This record gives sequence, C-alpha cells and structure tokens, in this order.
Amino acid sequence: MELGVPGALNPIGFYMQKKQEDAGEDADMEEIKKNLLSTFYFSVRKIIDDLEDVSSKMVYEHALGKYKVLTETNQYTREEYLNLVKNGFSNSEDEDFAARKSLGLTEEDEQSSNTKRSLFLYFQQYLRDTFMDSSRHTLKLTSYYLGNIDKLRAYAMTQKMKSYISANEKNFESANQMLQVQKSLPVQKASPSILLSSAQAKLFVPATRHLVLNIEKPIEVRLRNPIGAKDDNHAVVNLYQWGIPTVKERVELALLSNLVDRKIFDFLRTDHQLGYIVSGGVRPHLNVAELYILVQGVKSTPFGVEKLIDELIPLLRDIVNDLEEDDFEKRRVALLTNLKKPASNQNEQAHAVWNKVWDEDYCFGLKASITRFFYNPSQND
Amino acid sequence: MFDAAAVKAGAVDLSETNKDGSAKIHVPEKLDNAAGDEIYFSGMPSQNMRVPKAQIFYKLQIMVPGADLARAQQAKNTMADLAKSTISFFEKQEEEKETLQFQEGSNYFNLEGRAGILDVVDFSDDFSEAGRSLAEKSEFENDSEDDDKEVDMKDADREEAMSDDDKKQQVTCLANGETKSGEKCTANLVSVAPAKPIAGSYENEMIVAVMRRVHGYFANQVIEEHLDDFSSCGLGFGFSSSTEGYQMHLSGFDEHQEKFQTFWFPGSNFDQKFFFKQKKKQKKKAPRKKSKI
Repeated sequence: MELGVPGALNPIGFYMQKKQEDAGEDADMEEIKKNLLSTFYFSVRKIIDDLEDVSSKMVYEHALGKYKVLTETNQYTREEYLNLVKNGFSNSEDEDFAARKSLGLTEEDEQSSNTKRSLFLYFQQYLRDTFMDSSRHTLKLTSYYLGNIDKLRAYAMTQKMKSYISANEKNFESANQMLQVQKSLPVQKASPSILLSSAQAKLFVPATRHLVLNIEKPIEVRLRNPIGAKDDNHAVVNLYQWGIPTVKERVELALLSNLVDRKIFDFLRTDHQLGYIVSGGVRPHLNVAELYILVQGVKSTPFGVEKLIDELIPLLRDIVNDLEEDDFEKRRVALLTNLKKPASNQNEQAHAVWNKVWDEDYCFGLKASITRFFYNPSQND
Repeated sequence: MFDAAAVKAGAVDLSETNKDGSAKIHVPEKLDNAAGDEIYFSGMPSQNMRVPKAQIFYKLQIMVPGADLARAQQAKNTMADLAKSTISFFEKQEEEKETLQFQEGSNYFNLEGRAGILDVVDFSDDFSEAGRSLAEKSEFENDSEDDDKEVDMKDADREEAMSDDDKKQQVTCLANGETKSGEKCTANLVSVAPAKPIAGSYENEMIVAVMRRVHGYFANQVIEEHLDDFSSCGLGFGFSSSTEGYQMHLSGFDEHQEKFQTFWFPGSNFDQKFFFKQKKKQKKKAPRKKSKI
C-alpha cells in the first residue's frame, strides 16, 4: 500500500524509507518489513505496559482521570484503552507475519478479505483513511507561530502543511475560494461578552457553550482504588462547577481562590490530619471554573472525609464575610501584580496562548480585560 | 542571476498589484548555479496592514539554489499563487474594514473545513499585547552580526521601494515605540505548534482513539534516532497524539523551521544530507581547543 512520502504522520513510510536508504541497493525488503513489525509491536507493548502500570499514578490522579472521562468528550478510561488494545484486535505476531505480505495488497483486496485483521493492519488502514483519503473525514489544522517568523512566512508554512496533509491537491479548495467562504461567514461585530474578546473567536465557540459536561444535578461516582489491596489510600475529590465565568466573576474567583486554599489545607490537613495530600482552590477546567477540594489518605474513609468537607464549606463562607478591608486590599494588589507580570520566556508565552487555542477557549485578551477590570470595576462586561 | 545574493537584494518583487488583487512577480527566467533541491521562501509584507489598498507593499524572496529550470519554474508558480492569495486575503480584510494589524512576532491561522480548508481566521489583534512585551525582551537577544546585516539589507530594500505614505506609516510605528526597523519582534527563537490537523469521524471513535495513541508511540519510536542530533543543536521537536488529533511542536532557530516541518508530514522530503553537511562545515570552522600539557 502506498502511503505517500513519509513524515511523522506516516511512520510506516518513514521507517521503510530510512531503512532502505541505510541498506542501499542490497536492501532486503522482507527483512525490513519484519523489523518494522517488531518495532510496531514494541510500541504496542509499551502502551500496554503503561496502561497496566497503575501504581505509577496516585489514587487521586486516577480519580481526576475518571472525572475527565465523565465530563469531557472523546475521553476514554484506562481500562477501555487496555481492553481494546489487548483484546480488540487479533494482534498475534504470527498473524502479522502472514499479514505483512498484504502490505502490497490493493484496497479492494483488503476489503474483500473477511479475516479478522490484526492491529497492524488496522493501523495501516487508519493511516490511509486519515491522511490519504480526504473524502472520509474532516480535516482541521491549527497552527500558532511565535518568534521572528513574519506573517507571510507563517502563512506560507501553514499553506505548506496544508498541502502536505492533502492527499490529493484537487480536494483542497483554492486559497481564493476559501477566502470567499470566510467572507460569507457571519462575523458578530458586537457582543456583550468579553469572555471571547475576539469577534472572530465567536465563529468557533459561542460564549455560552460549556466545553465541560454541564452538570445539572449532583453526581457521585465511587470507584475502587485501581492500585488494589497493596494501597490503603482513599481519595476524595469534590468538584463544584461554577459555569463559564464572566470577567468580573473571574476576578472574584481569583481572589476567592487565594482566600480559601489556606483554609482548606489548615482544616483538613493540619486540624484533622486526613493525609499528606490535601489541596483546594478554584481551577479552570477548559472554559468552566471549578472549586475543588482534594484529599488523599488512609486515616478516614471517603464517607468520613465527605462529612468534614461538608463542615468546611460554611467555614469558607465565613472567611469571605470576615475579610477586613486592609487584608482585601493587600490581596487585590498582590493579584494585580501577578497579572501584570509578563511571561518570563518565549516558551511560557507560547504555551499561554497555545493552551487557549487548544482548549478552544480563544480568550486571548482575557488577562488584559481582567487587569482593566481592576482599575475600573464598574465596567460592563 | 538568481543566487543567494540576488535573493537578499530582493530579486523577486511584488510591489505592483493589479486591480483584481493579483500581483506581478519578477523572477529571472534563467536560473544559474543550480546545485541542490532546496526551495526556500521568505516574505516580508509591510509593517502595518491597516494601510489602504494602494499602499500595500510586499516583497517576496525566493531562493531556488539547486533546482533545475523546470523545478524552479514550478517553485515560481507556487510562490506566485501564494502571493496572489495572500494579497487577496489582506485586501479582502481591508475591504471588510477589519482591524487587522500586522503582528510580526506572533501569527496565528486557523484553518478548518471538510477535506480541506474552508476558513482562515486571523487572530493577530489578540496577540498585540503579548507580542509587544515579548518584542521588548527579544530586542536584546538578537545580537548576531549576520542577522544584523540581513535585517539592514532588507530595510534598505524596503525603504527604497516604499512610497512616502509607507514611510510615514513606518515613522508612526517608530513613534509608537516599536523596534528600530519597525518590526515588532526580532527574537531568534521561535516556537511553532501546529496541531490537531486530524479529527476523525469514524463510526467507532474508540478505535480511532486507540489508533492515535498507537500512532504517537510508534512515530516517536521510529523518528527518535533521527532526531538525536537536532536536540544537541538546540532544536526542539515534539510529536504526540491527543484526544482530538495530533499536537506538534517545534522550537529553535527560525531558519530551520521549514526543514523541521518536513519531519511531520507525508509528502515532505527532508534533506538530511544538507543538514549534516552544514553541521560538518560548522565543525570545521570552530577553532579547536588546545589541550594543556
């Protein structure tokens, strides 16, 4: 099967090409293909080992992983991955030795075959469907450049990437056509929300769209410690969804997080000594804000910990009520100083922006909006 | 002649634009000194894209140092198409009265669509603040003599071909406290993170998720040995799968970015021999340390 000239997106082709180059004219193709399969299954073995190694993560990390699966799309549990990789494909090496001869088979030959295909053949099919058959799927390319690559060069590089991904240039719209499409898209010029500061960003994510599962009723998930009997720890993670915060709410939550994190630690760790791992505060989860309280330890069962957390919540309210003006001002200034601090290096800057792109948040001007809010709290957001 | 010096001197000029937004490109018909297969392209639009249509000024630089004539012609055509679409892109933005500000330090394009690209959205405005703070820092980092020369040369060309209004525009940039050359960012380092090009629509998304994971591991396993030398040269490369596709990352000197790109995509052809030749040259140039006896 021809997969085009290789790159990292086509590791099979890359491997074959490099090995052929190394071996020169005397290249033994059968040997190269055999080694290719060994390398492939070495990678698969590595995945299985990683998935089976439950003790490399702590219980609370497993719990947060499950929470992610519960609340985000396209997320699967460790067990689901493991089950599919181990049992979902007939992936014995013997079968692949027989199957490797089909590397040269045409697509029709493969489709007409009723035999259960191996993981390698699935993988090969996946590469071809994804990168070579553009009629089967939607492509999305997002790129971000930071540094001394000017606009035109960045545009050229992006165009180049586009053409690399394209299996068939004819399937791609010409640049002019795509610009016409862009022109016809409804760009909202004005919106009351500062959350998505860019008018263009509204093309992608409506301000009200939860990127996290919008939990209407409380959900309780109880799972066994995946590490098993050798680990006595329990982990309790309480997460309270705040919804998509406005700029004003983000400022309030940032101040609140500063206030409550110490109290949570003092109450659960110092006073009740529930375990070594205790933390809490407000955190962003994609575009949604969450108050989280996390405890891991052996001293109390999850039921006991939950009772204590219930006792803690009113105390957190009291902190806010009892807050003195001087103290508030100090915290406000500290937060503002922190906000105004520029990125310390290019990498930090790149990731700050890229994370927003990746999470489809697109609130690039958020930091500036929050800073402005500090100076003018009466502004309408 | 169409050699590196000619390129630096701006042999290819896109200063004339037609009414329909297309542009003329002056490329010498005959290419001498053909000795490789590298095609290098860099572009330098004017500082500020807010300028009216008539003042939009482009300079494209194309170097085809080793191609045969047919290949060079092909490169020229590709560049011409690119230039046309780019000019058209900016002009349409101008027509729609978008406040599109050119931001050299930070560029972001979002391209999406079915089996191709349907949409281009420019977020440059949003980066203005970030880019500025970065530019202030990076001005001190660019102290290489060669780089200074190149920047001077580009500036000289640009000034020569600039209209009075363009010059005024540049003065405005200077008055606004941008960098000396009117460019906002001159950092040597660059981070490039093109990502998630692929979003599958399989019947069984779970299988796709597994395949992506396998792909990430396998690709890293395969390319690992070929990337060892790069990391020791201060160039970073990352390829990983994620829930929605693939995330790729490049960092290092910007002159190598296009070469690095070729490690990602099918259809690219990375010239490893060229890289190692350059490396050998550098080794030869570097003075050997005398051992103390």
